[in-house]
Amino acid sequence: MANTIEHEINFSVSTALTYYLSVVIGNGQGGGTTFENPGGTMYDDDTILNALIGTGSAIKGQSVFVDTSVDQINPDNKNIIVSYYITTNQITNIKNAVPTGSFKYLADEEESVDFFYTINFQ
Amino acid sequence: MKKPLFIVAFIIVISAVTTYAQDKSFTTIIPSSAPAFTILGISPTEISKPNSWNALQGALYQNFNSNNQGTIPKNFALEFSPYWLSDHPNFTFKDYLDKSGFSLRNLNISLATGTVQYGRDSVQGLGFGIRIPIWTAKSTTLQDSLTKTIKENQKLRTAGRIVIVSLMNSRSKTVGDFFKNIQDSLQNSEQGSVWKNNKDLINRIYTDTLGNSFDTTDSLAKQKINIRNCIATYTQNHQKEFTEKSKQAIVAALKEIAQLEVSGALGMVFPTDQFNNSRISKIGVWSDYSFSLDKQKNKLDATVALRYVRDFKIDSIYAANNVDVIGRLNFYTDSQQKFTLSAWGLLRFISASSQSVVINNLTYYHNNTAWDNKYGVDISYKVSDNVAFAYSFGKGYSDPFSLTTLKSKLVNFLTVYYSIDNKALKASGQQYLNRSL
Repeated sequence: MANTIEHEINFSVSTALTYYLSVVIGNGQGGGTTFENPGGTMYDDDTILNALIGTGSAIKGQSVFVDTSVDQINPDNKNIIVSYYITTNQITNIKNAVPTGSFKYLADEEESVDFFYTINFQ
Repeated sequence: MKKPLFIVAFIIVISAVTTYAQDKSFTTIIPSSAPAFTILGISPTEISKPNSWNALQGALYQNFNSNNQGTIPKNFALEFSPYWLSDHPNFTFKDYLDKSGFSLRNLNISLATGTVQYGRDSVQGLGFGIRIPIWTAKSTTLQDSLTKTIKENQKLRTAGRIVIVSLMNSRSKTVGDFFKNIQDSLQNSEQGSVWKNNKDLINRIYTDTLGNSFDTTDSLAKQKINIRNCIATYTQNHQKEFTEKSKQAIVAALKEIAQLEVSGALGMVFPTDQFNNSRISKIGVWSDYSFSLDKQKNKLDATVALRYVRDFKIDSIYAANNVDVIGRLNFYTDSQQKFTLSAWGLLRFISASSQSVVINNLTYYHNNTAWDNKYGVDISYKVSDNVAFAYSFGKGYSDPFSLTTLKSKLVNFLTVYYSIDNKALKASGQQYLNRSL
C-alpha cells in the first residue's frame, strides 16, 4: 500500500506575469521533486529553485502535477516538511521567502512518503 | 553456581539467533550516554526523544505528575535538541551535513531519574545535563561525498517520480499507449535528459511492476491512479534499504569529523522521594575531543576528556572535588562495528574535605588529596542488527570509604544489548563485581 498524501490547489494567475515554482524539503530530510510544466519541460532535483511554470496567459486554465518524494534520513528529527513557492520573481534567498503552502508529516524511522499535489491555475 | 547457568543461557541465545546481513552499526544498538545519565552514573534502558514541544510537554507531564501533584519518576530518561522541537522548512539535508562552526542547533539537553548512591544510602536522584560541540572540523570533501551518496541512494525514487509525473500528464488513451510512450522516451530522449539519466531504473520499474500487472487494452484514465500507486508502493518498499544506508553513512561520516564538545550536568537527590526535600549532590563540567586516527578506513578513533565533578557534603561525609583526565581508544573491525575493542583509562585527582573546626563561627575544613585511577578494556560483538554482547573488565575506582587503604574494585561484567524498532535497550546483564586487596 503506497504511503501518499494528495492535495489540490487552485491558484489565480495574471496573464501579464511569468510564474516560477520552487520546492524545498526541510527538516534535513532526503528526497526530491519532479514536475513537468505545461510547455513539456520536466524538472527534477532534491531542491527545485525557480523552475519556470510559464507565463500567466499560457498556463491559465492548465494544471501542473507535482510529485515530491521524501525519505526520513535525519538522525535527529522525524518530522517531514515540504514547502512550495509559486512566485512571479525568481527567488534569490529561499530562507527569506514565504511559502505558498506546505505539507507536514510525522514519519517513522526511515519511512518514505510521496506528496502528490496538483496546482490548478485559474 | 551462577557461571554454568550463564554459559548455558549464553549458548541458547547464540544458537537461537539467526545470522542476518548486518547493516546497522554497534552504536545504534547501545543506549546513548548523555550528561544527565553520566552525572547520575546510570545507563537508562529506554530514552524518550521528543520531536516537538507538545511531545516534550507530554513526556514531562506524564512522568512528573501524579494526581495533579509533582512527583519524581523512578526511572526516566529524556534527551532532546531544542532546535528540532520546531520545524525548519528551509533546512535541507545539505544544510544538515554542514556541522562546522558553532551552532545552537547542535545543543542537546538531557534529563534523567534513577536510584543513586548517596553516602551509604540509595535514594532517588535526578540529573539535568547539556552538551554542545563548540568546534567541529570542516570537511568539504566529506560533505560532498556524503551528498553524492545520499543522491545515489535516491535514484530509485527519482526514477519513480519521472514515470509518475509522465503518467499523470499523459493523454494516452490506453495503458498500452502509455507504456509505449515510456519506451519511446527512453529510446529517443537526448543525452543528459532526465529519461536518459535514469534509464536503467525506469526500465526496472517498468519490468518489475507495470509490464505484467496491467491490461494494455485498458483505458489509461481508468487505471491512472492504480498505476501511480503501484509505482509509489514499489519505490517506497525498495527504498528502505537505501534510506538506512544514507542514514548510516551520515552517522558514520559525522563521527569521523574531529569535534570538541563541552558538557555540564547537575545531580540532585530526593532522600524522602519528595520534590520539596532535595539536595544538590553533584555538579560537573567536562570537555571531550573526539577524532579519527584512521580516516581512510575509519577503524580507529579516540576520545580524550577533561572533567571536573564536585561531590557536595552529605551529612557527615565531606565534600570533594574530582578532576579527571580520561582517554579512550576504539578499534573496529569494519564499518558496521561487528567487533569492537576499546581500551580506556581515567586518572583522577581528588581533593576531599575531612574534619572541620569552627573558630569564631566560621567553619574551616582540612583537605586531603589523593590520586585514583581506573582502566579497562571493553569488547563488543554484534551478533545481528538488533543484538550485541559487550564484555568489560578492568580496575574500578578505589572504595570511597576506605580511600586511605586504596582497596580497588575489579570490574568484570557482561551485558546484552538489544534493540526493538531502533530503541536501544539493555537486558539485565550478568554482573560480577569482585573486590581485591
